[in-house]
Amino acid sequence: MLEQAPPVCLELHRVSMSFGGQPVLKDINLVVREGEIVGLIGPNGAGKTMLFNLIAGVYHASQGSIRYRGQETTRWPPHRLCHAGLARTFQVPRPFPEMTALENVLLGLMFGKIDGPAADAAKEQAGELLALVGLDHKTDTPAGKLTLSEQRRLEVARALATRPHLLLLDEIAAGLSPQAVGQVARLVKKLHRQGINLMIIDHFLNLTLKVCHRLVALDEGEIIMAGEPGQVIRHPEVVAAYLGTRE
Amino acid sequence: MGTISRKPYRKQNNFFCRFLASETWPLAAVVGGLLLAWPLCFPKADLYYQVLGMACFYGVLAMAWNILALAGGISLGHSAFFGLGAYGSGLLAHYQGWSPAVTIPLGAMVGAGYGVLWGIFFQRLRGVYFGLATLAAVEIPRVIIDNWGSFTYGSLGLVGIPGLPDLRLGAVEISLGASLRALYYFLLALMCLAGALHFWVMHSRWGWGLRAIRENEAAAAMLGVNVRRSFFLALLLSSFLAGLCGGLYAHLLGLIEPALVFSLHLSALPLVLSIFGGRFHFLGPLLGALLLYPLDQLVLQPYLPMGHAAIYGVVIIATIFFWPRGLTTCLSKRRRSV
Amino acid sequence: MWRWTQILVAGGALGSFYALVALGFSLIFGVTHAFNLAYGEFILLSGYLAYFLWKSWGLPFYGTIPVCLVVMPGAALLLHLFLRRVRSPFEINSLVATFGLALVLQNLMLALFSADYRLIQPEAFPFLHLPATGLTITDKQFGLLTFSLAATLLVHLLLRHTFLGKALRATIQEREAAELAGINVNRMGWLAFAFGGLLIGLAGPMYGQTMYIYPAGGVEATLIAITITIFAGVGRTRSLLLGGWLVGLAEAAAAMWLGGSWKELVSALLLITLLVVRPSGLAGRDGNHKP
Ligand SMILES: Nc1ncnc2c1ncn2[C@@H]1O[C@H](COP(=O)(O)OP(=O)(O)OP(=O)(O)O)[C@@H](O)[C@H]1O
Ligand SMILES: [Mg+2]
Repeated sequence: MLEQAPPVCLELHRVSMSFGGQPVLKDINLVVREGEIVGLIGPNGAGKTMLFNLIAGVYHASQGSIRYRGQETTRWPPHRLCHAGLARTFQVPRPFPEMTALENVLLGLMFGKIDGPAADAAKEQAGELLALVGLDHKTDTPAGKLTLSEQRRLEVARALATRPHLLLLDEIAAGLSPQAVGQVARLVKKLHRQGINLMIIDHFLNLTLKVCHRLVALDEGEIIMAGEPGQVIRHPEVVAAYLGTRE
Repeated sequence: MGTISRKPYRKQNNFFCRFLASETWPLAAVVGGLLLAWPLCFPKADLYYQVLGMACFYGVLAMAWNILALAGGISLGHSAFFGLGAYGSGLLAHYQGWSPAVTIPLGAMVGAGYGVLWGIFFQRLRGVYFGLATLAAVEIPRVIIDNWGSFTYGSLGLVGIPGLPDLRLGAVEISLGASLRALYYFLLALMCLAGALHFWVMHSRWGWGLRAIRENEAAAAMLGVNVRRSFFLALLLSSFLAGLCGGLYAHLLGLIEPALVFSLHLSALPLVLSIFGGRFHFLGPLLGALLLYPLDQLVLQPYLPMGHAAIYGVVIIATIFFWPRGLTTCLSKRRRSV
Repeated sequence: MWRWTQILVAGGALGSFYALVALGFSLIFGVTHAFNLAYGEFILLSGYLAYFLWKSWGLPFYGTIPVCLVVMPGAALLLHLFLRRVRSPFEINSLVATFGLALVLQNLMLALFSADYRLIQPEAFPFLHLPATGLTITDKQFGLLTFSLAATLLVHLLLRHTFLGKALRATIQEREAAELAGINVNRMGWLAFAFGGLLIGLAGPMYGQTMYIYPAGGVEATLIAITITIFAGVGRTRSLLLGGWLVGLAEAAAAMWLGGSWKELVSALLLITLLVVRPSGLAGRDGNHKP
């Protein structure tokens, strides 16, 4: 009867981060298993983006260790993690502003894996990825000229271009209408069906509740609650954190 | 990934085909043809041989600079590589008596050695701060060479550097030392080679990565571009080429002194030519050199023997104010070409 | 022992002067946030002006200062007009544009004044001489010290204790906040450049009297000003003075032990060290940059 738990994809063990003596993340323990969609919630400044930065190698943890697919990756640079199958989007989009949307995606295809294709060979595939996020009509627009929400979608397409195994999405549903959130949720589920594991930051809970198997609530750099979505959001401490009344 | 097709990738590394496919090859062909053919009509024009030959030479220097600028490294100190190349080559020729064919590449390696130091010490510097550091970095070799009189002849300069040797291609003997026309063709050929290299750099996988680094470094890293290695290699190639120019310069001129080869002028020149011509296009630095240098030498120099180089300052200011993306971008119908 | 004192005197005088040089730079930098690479050339221009007033018109050295004080603010205001036109990305564009300006000015000076090295009042008289110790302070050093310190003190008092100065400082530190507080930021810009021009006006003659002026000499003054500004931060007179002294002492020590011509290496090495240690330069000190 005992079901074997799926293998671990990402594991954070006692990870802490501080800037100039100021702690930003404290003693984080977290596991993402294969086939999971994990949501990361918490009020502004909780440290959600910083956690992504650590996992993706943009910053390196002051303490603790991060293991990704069985390898110790705590101090790996971002490009190495990318080659290992980890991709992320940035909360504030960081497109290559002077390249077209297509070229942005092309770069992901070319460099995402060590033996990536040459530019010409990957154009078609880049177009398909743009279509997947609904940007096929903006193929030749310079990314700097796209609107914010289009740039967010471009971020997703670009991240997918690296053919990730674990995808970190940072607030891609912020400020979207309910229908648009529904679309994003469908996309996320589709990616999940294709075998991609996901971690999703969602400040306003409009996306996470639709798609996540598990939620982790963060406040002031600490995990205050983790577990099944319905339970987490009703947990008094989480509510207090959002209302700003938590001690 | 179900919806995303995974075709086997065609390997396409034929840069010649890609060059023919690019929209600018007619322009490149016209410019090249003109440069190749005009001496047939005016066989006795030593001044023009000299000026256009040097324009080609500075075109090479400008491309060397641009390879670093591709990755966003705006250097204000390329004369450091140039000067080290010149002194490396000149001193080797002076003390060892080796042929320029040997000393020039060795001199270029001295320049590249300094490039390695930049790569190590300046790896965390970006934008303006990188520029400031490079500006200051020129002073170090300059002051050392200036003060190391017993070895480098200090501020007196190194004189009597042998000229370029004669080339022998089969039965044909090309006397680079004696014939300005031969020298012109030599420099033109050099520029074409460098131009091809520049084209390759811009359109290679590595060049794409450099461009991504320039446009957004964090995003590039996250997409799998090895930022440090790519930038370092760009710096290495750039400093090597600038050193090569310096070494060549020493043998072209026959004498060098620190104030000449480590000058602000030589740091500025490749930057001005490149930005004016358009640093986003492989022809930009070349066109900049072919237009500006003759303008300076043939038009201004006779009127203003001292201070005619002010034109480069004026041009770069005008470029930054009015067409910051340079000439080639203005000319080309599409907004961008690389 | 007295050798040390000699270094201290020479370095102190030089360093105070460098603080003066950096002060003008830092005021202008504070308002525009542009690393003005033509700054040294402006000081040279002021120096040439003083030189020709002294040489051709026979003005006494101290008589040249008022003239420079009148002329150079005008030049600085022109510079303001120039820098205001630079488009974004501002930082790198202004760096390149002022680099071009430096090139223009250098060649202009070359055309007008030739490449000769010039010095105002080549002979220096001992102002204070202690024969028993061998310690000498020349009148030039004394002048340099008093003028530089007096100017620095004046600027310090102005910035700290007058309403105008406080508004200026507020503008330099927090532009938007200053604007919200009802400060006319635009006018403060003109003001900063005017003050910067005054400081350049004073620095020029001092420069021409202390060091040789020649068209290519501006880079070094610029490097020194940038080094001290990055070391000290913007508009902080006391740190600027400290930075100036450190650079001055280092240069005096280098000149004493290695010889005068090695001195030019000091500012370059200091700047590179500073940047390598603090790669984000001035931006890093406020901690206001997010990934
Ligand atoms: N580079 C940095 N240096 C110093 N502190 C930083 C840096 N980056 C982030 N912080 C601090 O870390 C804390 C967490 O920031 P983070 O961006 O991770 O929050 P967040 O949970 O993503 O919030 P939001 O919902 O606003 O995106 C904040 O207090 C922030 O000020
Ligand atoms: Mg965030």
